Amino acid sequence: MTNYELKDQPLEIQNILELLLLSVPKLTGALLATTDGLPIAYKLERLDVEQISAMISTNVGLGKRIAASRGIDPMQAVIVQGAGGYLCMYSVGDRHVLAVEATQDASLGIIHITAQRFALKITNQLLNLNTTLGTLAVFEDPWAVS
Amino acid sequence: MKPLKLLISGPVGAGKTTFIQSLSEIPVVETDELASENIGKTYTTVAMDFGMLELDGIRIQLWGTPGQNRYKFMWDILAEGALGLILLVSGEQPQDFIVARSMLEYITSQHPIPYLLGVTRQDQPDVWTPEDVADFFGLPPEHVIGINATRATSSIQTLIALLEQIQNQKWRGIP
Repeated sequence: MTNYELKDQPLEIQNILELLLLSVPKLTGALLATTDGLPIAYKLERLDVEQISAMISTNVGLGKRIAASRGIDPMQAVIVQGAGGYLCMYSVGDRHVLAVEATQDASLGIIHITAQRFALKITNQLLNLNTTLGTLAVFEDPWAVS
Repeated sequence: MKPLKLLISGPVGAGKTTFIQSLSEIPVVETDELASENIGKTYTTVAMDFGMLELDGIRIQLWGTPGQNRYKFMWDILAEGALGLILLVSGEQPQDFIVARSMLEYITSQHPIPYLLGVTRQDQPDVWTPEDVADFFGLPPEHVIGINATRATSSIQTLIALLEQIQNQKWRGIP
């Protein structure tokens, strides 16, 4: 069972978030939380992390329900677009959500592709962190260049 | 006639989702996610539960909130336009009474609507009775009602008790 304290953010996940922020221009922040609204790791400025984690989990949870009732599931992303920028929220496995913040001149398409690739990386990393078994189920990256 | 919007709130594990499921005549819109804290159950509501029913010709919408304090913003969003509040608390979890009390105060101060405190798990032995809970909360006894989810009529009785509070008269259905 995942149950991290906010004070000990897993370094591996922080590193992945940092890499994500460097991979796309105009990204201003990233956050990983559980589907029930508890923050795990983040690279965000001037934010109440616990509050925004809860809001993101609500939005993703409702997004999943909407996608299911409209037959477009599994849900992949929920986007909030404001005059000041974007907050894109992604489903990561069964138990986590990834949020990426960007300025309004960022490219939504590149954010989408990159964030969803990183969501897979995070899923695999979380499996690594949580398993004590030798063998791991690894999700394939559909965008991987072979 | 516009449907009557009722808010269902209360601490984690009070039985909000179960209460709505027991009353709704449509499949309940649920937003359950795996709980990563030890809260005595596997899933927890993260956005809302939504159910509907018709009682004596009145269409009633039930909007359930998440229980955790970090979802406080949802209490306000869902309370918008609500005409009554049922706050549920488990009679087996007296450690939640303080939280329930502050939820009740928070919601009724932001949205002054008629309310009822439902004490669930009345089928269990050694459970707090509605009278005890009314004493503890310092509420008039008519605002506190016992709920036994294993009895089909229990949830309906709770609903009728709240409708009587809203109308300030004995329930007679639609004249």
